[in-house]
Parts: sequence; structure tokens; C-alpha cells
Amino acid sequence: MSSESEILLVLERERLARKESERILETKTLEIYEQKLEIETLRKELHEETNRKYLEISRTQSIQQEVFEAHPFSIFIYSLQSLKILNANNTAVLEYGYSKEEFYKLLITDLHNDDDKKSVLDHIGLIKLGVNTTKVWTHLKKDGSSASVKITGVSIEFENEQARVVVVEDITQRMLLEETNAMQQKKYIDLIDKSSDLIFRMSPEGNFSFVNKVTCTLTGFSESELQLKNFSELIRPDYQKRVVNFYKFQFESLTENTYTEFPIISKGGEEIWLGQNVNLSQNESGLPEISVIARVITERKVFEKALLRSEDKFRSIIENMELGLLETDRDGKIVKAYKSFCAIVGYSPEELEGNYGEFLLTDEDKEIMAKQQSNRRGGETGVYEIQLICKDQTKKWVMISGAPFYDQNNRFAGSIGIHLDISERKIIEAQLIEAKNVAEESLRAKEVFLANISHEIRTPLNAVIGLSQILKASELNEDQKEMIKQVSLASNNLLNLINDILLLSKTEAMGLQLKPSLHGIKNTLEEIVIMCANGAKDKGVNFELELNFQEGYLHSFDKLRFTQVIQNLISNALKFTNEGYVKLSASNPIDASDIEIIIEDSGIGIPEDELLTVFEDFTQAKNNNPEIYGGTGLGLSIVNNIVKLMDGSIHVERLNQGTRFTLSFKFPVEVHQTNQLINSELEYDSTKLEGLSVLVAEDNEVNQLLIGKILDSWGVNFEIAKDGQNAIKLMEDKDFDIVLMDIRMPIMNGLDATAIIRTNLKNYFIPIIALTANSIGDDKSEYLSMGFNDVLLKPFQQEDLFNMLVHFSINRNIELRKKLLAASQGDFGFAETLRTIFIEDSLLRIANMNLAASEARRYDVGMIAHSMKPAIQQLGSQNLVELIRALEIEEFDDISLLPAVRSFELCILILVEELKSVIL
Amino acid sequence: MKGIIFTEFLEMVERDYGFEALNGIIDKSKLESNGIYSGVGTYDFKELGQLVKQLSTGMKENELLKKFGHYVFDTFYKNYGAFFANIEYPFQLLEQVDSHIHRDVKKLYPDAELPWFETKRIGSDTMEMLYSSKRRMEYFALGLMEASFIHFSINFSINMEDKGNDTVLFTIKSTE
Repeated sequence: MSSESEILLVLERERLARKESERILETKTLEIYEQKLEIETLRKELHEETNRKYLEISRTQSIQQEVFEAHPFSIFIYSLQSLKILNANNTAVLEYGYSKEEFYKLLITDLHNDDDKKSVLDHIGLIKLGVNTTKVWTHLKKDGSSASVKITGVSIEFENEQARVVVVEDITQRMLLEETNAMQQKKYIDLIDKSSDLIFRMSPEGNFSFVNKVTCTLTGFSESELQLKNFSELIRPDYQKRVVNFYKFQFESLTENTYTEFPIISKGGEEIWLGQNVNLSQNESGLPEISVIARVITERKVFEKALLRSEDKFRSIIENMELGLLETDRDGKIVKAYKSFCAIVGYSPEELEGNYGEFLLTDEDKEIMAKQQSNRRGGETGVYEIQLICKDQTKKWVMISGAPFYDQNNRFAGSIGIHLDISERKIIEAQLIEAKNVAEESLRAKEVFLANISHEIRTPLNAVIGLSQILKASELNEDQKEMIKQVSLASNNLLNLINDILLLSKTEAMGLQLKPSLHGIKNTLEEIVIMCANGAKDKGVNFELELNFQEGYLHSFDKLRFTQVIQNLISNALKFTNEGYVKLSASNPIDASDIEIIIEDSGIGIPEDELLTVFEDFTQAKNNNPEIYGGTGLGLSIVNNIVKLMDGSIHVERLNQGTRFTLSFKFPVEVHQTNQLINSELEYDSTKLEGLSVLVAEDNEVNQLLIGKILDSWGVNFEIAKDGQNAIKLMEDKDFDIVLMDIRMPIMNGLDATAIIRTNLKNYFIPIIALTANSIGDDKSEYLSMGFNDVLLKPFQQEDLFNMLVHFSINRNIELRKKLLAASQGDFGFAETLRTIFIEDSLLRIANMNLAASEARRYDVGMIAHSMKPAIQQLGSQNLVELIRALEIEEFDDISLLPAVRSFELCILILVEELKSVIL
Repeated sequence: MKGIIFTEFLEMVERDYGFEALNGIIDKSKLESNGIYSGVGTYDFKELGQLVKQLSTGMKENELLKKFGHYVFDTFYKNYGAFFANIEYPFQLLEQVDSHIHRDVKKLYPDAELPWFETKRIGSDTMEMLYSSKRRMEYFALGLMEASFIHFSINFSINMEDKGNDTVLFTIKSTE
């Protein structure tokens, strides 16, 4: 039993042991499981990490690939063993022109030129020793061009090979740029060195950090000497403090730029004036610095001093000249009254200075003064005369020369007046004016007297002559007939005498105005001879003519007076010659403008002792019996006077038998024309006037007939108006080209008619030629100022009428062309420009003038006329010049202004049209 | 089948029927393993059938399996107390079989072929449990369930319904 229970105990122990071992096993199994789980987790994490890394690496690789391909620089990978190019990026493909496949066939050395190859190989040798390098080389491209490149390399393992990655930077442009920069830098330095100015930099304390060559040259100190010096040591001692303070202030106030002038002393002790510009700046380290550009102004300073001295000198000269000097400020306040001025007015300087001096002026002079003051503000100097009220209340005339002066900024700063005491002169002047007035008055009285007396005498004399002729025709006995004959003769003589006296008085008073115009001298003489030839024939005297002129010239002279002279001499010669000859010979002894005329006769001659007095008034040779020869004895006086007026000379001499008068003239040769032109002019080349339409305003029927005949013969269309009113009516209905206007007409005279035409008619610019018999006071400009374009004196010469019509009807191409070319001194291009400018300018101005005239702004018309005058003088006719002068000096009153301007406008328009038609 | 089922079965037989009866059953069953089992080993399921068959001469096989369920519950409670911590009510335990217990079994014995459970509470006192196993050990399961209610001293009723396809639906009702 004990053994059975023992067995059971053993069994139970075994069973428990089994259970224990199972429990241990399970625990271990569980531990293993847990570890397994942990391992599993770790494995999983490892796997994930691996994947992540893998992704990262592949991404990095693709980025690297992209960076490699798209890198802005060319990148090559080449084998360090074979030197073959193993890879090249896209940039390299673009830069070098090789495709990738082409690159793979190249060695890295193929990119270098032959000269460099050896050093490239040496270089690669170094690289193999593990040296990382950066070096500049020259690379060749496929197209043969080369580039400077900077190569940075690093050795790597590539596809199991020792390889080299090189990054190639093309620095060609950069090198160029650097080169340019270096050159510019050099230029800049050169500029500073070659500058004639001192250029230097220094610290605020005045220690130099840079000086250019000029600074050394001028100061005499070397660069190293200057660098040991302080700037202030250079300044002339008496200026040191001032200059240093000046710059101290600049520093404190941070004023960027300043300029000042001061003297420095050079090493050699020479004084040099500098005009110094100082600029505050910073140096490379950001510390404040002073940049200086200074210029040597010694000469200017010397000059300024000299100027000051000379100013003082002139001031004292003027002061001593007894010219009253007065200085005023810009408002007219007296700033300085010099002794000389005080001496004139009697005030002391203290009484004047600081005042406006109005107590020195009369009320009317205050206005003049104010005007002068405002002129001076405008920069004008002026000389004017006023009266000064002196301290003792007497008045003194002074002539003031006032001039503005300016401050350094060129602004009006005041005036200096120089006063000259002209009281004495004023008194004399007044006396002279009075004397002149008296003289002129008496001269006028004489003229009036003569005109009146001639009229008063001629009227009864006409009656005497007329009645004598009627008496002659009546039944008379022999005695009565003889008496009437004597009355008739005496009264005719008396009429001649009066006519001669009138003419003489005119020539003596030089009141006779010559009216030169262009004529053929030869034609004129021929015409005179034809007039006189009958007289010679009647007397049985031989009339000889000998004309010897240079062909082809026209002369400018007063044909009427010239004819008078020659006619008088010829009729004298005929009078005193009963048998033999009278001879007229004429020639050009020197040139075409010189004319010598000799009138010779075989008459009774002039006694030797009277030759000197024949030209005096009322002188006839003693042996002349007035009863035989007649005459007033005034003829030669008149001739002499006219010749003198013409600037000619007359000379008389006695011949063995007879007398010789020699006349010399110098007439301007104005136009050189061909024979043909002269001839055709004489024949009146009527083609020039063909189709012209003329209005003739003339009340006198004989004159109507005469003018009509002449115009007909030239093929000119015309209509007659019997008075001014009629003329205007006709003009309203029809466009005429030219008007011939008689001045004296019934109902409406020519002056009024012209005024109306110029003011009211649409054809206001028509040329109007005045016809007048008035001869005293016949100043042409008066007519021009009344709106006429020209004047024709009655009785007129056909030639004058013809020329006038031609002048106003056809263009004067040739003459104008000459004027244009003369004005441009033969430069055709400039002539063209001149023409264009003149036309545009004149049209503009004339329009303005017209406007000004219509508003009666006379002053403005004058100003415009003044502005146009120079051009008109060059291109316009004499008439135009006279008219513009009249307009310029404001000769017209309000009523006559507009007609005058319109007449002027017409002339300008004609001139413009003519200019346009000129072929250069 | 896990060795623990065999060792527990043999111990239950030894306790309830005696050492000699146990030897007799093992001999008669002609087992391939000769009746040598380790709790941590794995053995053919057929051997349990053969053993149950030899033992059931006195009682029905299902009753025996149910009794075995009661026995194993006690063993489990003794050996694996950790599973019972925090359990206050039998439903909780049943609900944990598939989610906790079987999972831990798999840790120790990855090759274990375990039955499939699905629990569903259909009321405050009623739970449905679907059992699915080719081994058809539903009565063993019933024994375990009954033992757990007994363990917590709670009155209960369990209804079994064969759903075919080796599936059985238990409807468990607490009758307190």
C-alpha cells in the first residue's frame, strides 16, 4: 500500500512537473511570439525606410540630372584614364554646337587648341594626384570660334571609372567687360591726372588721402609731402581761420556742395588763388570724406583787383569831370549822391541819400523819369533832358545819361545817372530855334509873296496880251498898229521875265526838286534837237549834231530840267548867231556815267571880260541889245542853278568866232540794257501793255482826248470817268487794272476818290497813279501817303506814262532777280530761302498791319513798318521804301492811316506776286 | 486539436472514473498517439472522438461533451485567470471569446484550428451566438457557456438551433 501511495505521489509530482514545463513552454512561446512580432515590426519599418530612401535617392538623382542638364554652365564628365568625354549637359550642346553623340566621340583635350594641349595634359596629371582646381582656359567650339572659360572640376567615380566633372563658365563677355571697365577706370584716372584742376580727397580733419598730379605740380609739394600735411597748412595764414570755419560749417550743416575762394601758398612761396568746390562724401569704409575740385583763379583775382582799381579810377575821372553822378537802387531811391551832383543842385549828399529825390523834379519830368526808370529795368540805357529844381528853387536843364547796373546774379540792381548841366546850351538852343523859325517864316513869306505877285501880275498881263491881239485884228491906223505891236512885244517880254523870275526863285531857294528817272541820254538829246531844228532852219543857220555815246546804257536824271538846260543854251546860241553854225556834240569822256555836252556857235560871242559874270542874275553881255536879242538876262542864271542842282558843271569860253559852253554831268547808270531793249522801249513795246484795263479819271476834255489817243496806240483798254464819283461808280461795276486819277476834278476830287477806293471798294488794292499839274510843294511822298502809288506830272512825257503802266502791270522779273541775288550775295539756295521767308513774313506782317490800321493803332503800324523796312529796302522799289518810311515814322493821322496801309499792302502783294514769278 | 483538450479530457476521466477506467479507454481506443499527449502539442481531432466514443457507453456523447465543457471551464479559470479579470457578466465573456481569447490562442499556437463565433445582443438579457465548426463541438461549447453562468451564479436558459452548414445558433437568455 505504501508503495502504491508512493507511486501515486510520484505520478502526481510528474503530472505537476509536466504542467510546469508546459506552462514554461507557453511562457517562452509567448515571449518568442512577442519577439517575433517585434522583429516583424522592425522588418516592416526597415522595409518602409528602405523604400523611402530609395524614393528620395531616385528623386535626388532626377533633380541632379535636371540640374546637370539645365545648369547655366556647360558641364562635362570625362574619363581620367581615356580622357574621353563620358557625358555633357544640354548647355554644353547649346554652347559648343556638338550633339551629345558627337561629344561622346571626343576627348576632353579636343576642346582645347593645339598650343594648349600639352599644358592641359600636365594639368590632368596634377588632377590625378587629387588636386581640385579652378583655371581659365580657351575652349574651341564646333564652328571654330573660341571662348575664354573658367573651369572648375572635381574628381568622381562615374560608371566604374575614375572620372572628372568639370563646370565650364564662359567668361568671354565678363572678361571683355572687365577689360572695358579697366580701360574706363584708367581713363578716369588719366582724366583726374590730366585735369587742369586740382583734385584731391581728404578727411574732415584735413588730412589728404588722394591728390592728383596737378595738385602736386601747383603746390610744389610731392604726393608724400602732401600726405604728411594738413590742408589748412596750405592756406594763406590770414585766410586760414576763415576757410577752416567755412568748412566746419559745411560739415555741421551737412551742406553737400560748397564753393569758396581763397589763396594758398605754394612750396615756393607763391600765392595761388583757388576757386574750390567741396563735396561731402564717404570713403570705401563709409567714413566721411571731402572730395575737392579746385581751380586756379589767380588771374581772375588779379583781373578783378585791376577792375576794382580801374573802376575807382573811372569813378574819380567822372567825378572830376563836373558830371553830376547819382546812384539809385532798383526802386529809384538815391543810394549815393556824388559831390559833382550836389554841386549842380545845391543839396548836400545827406539831404539826398535815402530819398527818392522827387523834390528835384517838375511834375512833367516825373513822368519822363518814371518812363526812363522802367526802361532801365528792361535793360535800356537812355539819354534825356529834364529840368532839375535846385535847392534855391532855380531850375537847371540837365542832360541825363542813365544806365542800369546789375548784381552778380544779373538782376537789375539800380541805375547810375550822369547829369550834364546844359542850361547854357538850352538857352542858345532856344535862340537858334527862334532864329530858324524866323528865317523859315521869312522864306515862306517870300515864296508866298512871289507866287502871289506872279499870279497878280500875270492875270492883268494876260488881259493886256489878249486884248492887244484883239486890238491888232481891228481897224487901226499905222501909228496905232505900231503902238499895239510895241504893247504886245513889251507885254510878252514882261510875261517871260515873270516866268523866269519864278523859276529862278525856285532854283535859288533850292526848292526845286529833281525827279530823276531812267532815260536814254541819246534819245533825249535827239528829241531836243528836233524841237530846236526848226528855229535854226528859219534863221538859215546850220545845225550840226555829233553824238558819241557808249551804247546800251540808260541814265538816271530829271529829263524835264535837263531838257530845259540844253534847250536854253541852244536857243541862246541860235539867238546870237545869224550866220554860220550851231553845233551840239556829246560824248562819254571817261565812262558811261560821265556825260560831256558841248554847245558851240559862230555868233557874236561874249566879251572876254564878261565871261565870268554871264551866269549872274540879270546879266547880259553889254553889246547885247535887248531890243535886238530880247530875253530877260535870267536864262543863264537858271541854267547854272539847275546844273548845280544836278551836281554838274558848266563852263563858258570865247572862240575866235563865237562861244562854247561845256557841260559835264555824272548820271548814275542804273540799268544795263541791250540795244534792242532801248529801241523797243522807244517804240513802246505795246505787247507789254496789251489787254491792260485802265480807268482814266480826268475832267478836262482835251486831256481825255490826249490820254485816250496814247492809250489806244498801245492797245490799252480804257474808260473815262469825268470826276471822282463817276470813277468810283465805274469801279464798282468793273475790275480795272490801273487807275489814272486827276487830282483836281469837280464834284469829287482825286484825293477823296482815292480815299474812298482804298477804304471801301473791294478792289482797294488797285494801283492808283495821281495826275497833277501842281508843281510847287509837289513832294511825291505826300501823294504816296494819300494812298497813291505814284505820281505823273502834267504835262507828262509819253515815255513816263508808258513806264509807269509797265511798272504796275508786268512783273519786274529781271530787276527783282538781281535784287534777290544781291541780297543773298549770289547764293541761289539762300536766295530761294530769302524769297520764301520774305513772302511768308511780309504777308503775316501786312495782315497785322492792316488790323492795326483798322483799329487806328498808329504806333503798332509804325512798329510793324519798322520791322519790315530792312527787307523792303533790299527787295522793294523806291516808292515802297518811301512809303514804309512814312508809315514807320507815323506820318499819318487816323483818317489817312488806313488808305496808306492799304496802298502799302497792294505794293507788297504786287511785290510778292512778282517775287513768286522770279525764276532764279 | 490542441493537446490541452486531450490532457484535460484524460484528467476529467481519471478524476471522475478512476485511473484504471482511463487506461481501459486509452487501450480500447487504439489511438495513434497511444494516449501520450502534451498540453502544448497538437493532435488529431479523431482521437478525441474515439476516446469520447469509448467513454460514452454509459452516457450520451453530447452529454459527455457538455460535461467536459463544464470541466474545461474550471481549468481555464484556474490556469488563465487573466481572461476573467474585468469580466462581471457571462455575456461579456462570450463576446470576448472570438475577439480576445482566440486571438491569444493564435499567438501561442498559430496552427490551431479554432471554431468561429459571432455574438449579437438582441435585448438587455438576450444574446445570440452563432457557432460554426466542422468539428461539431457545439455541446462542448454549450457546456462552457453553462459553466460560465454557473460561475457567476446567474440563472439562464440556452436554446440551440441547427442552421445547417456546420452552423448552430445559440440563443442565450439570462433569467434573473
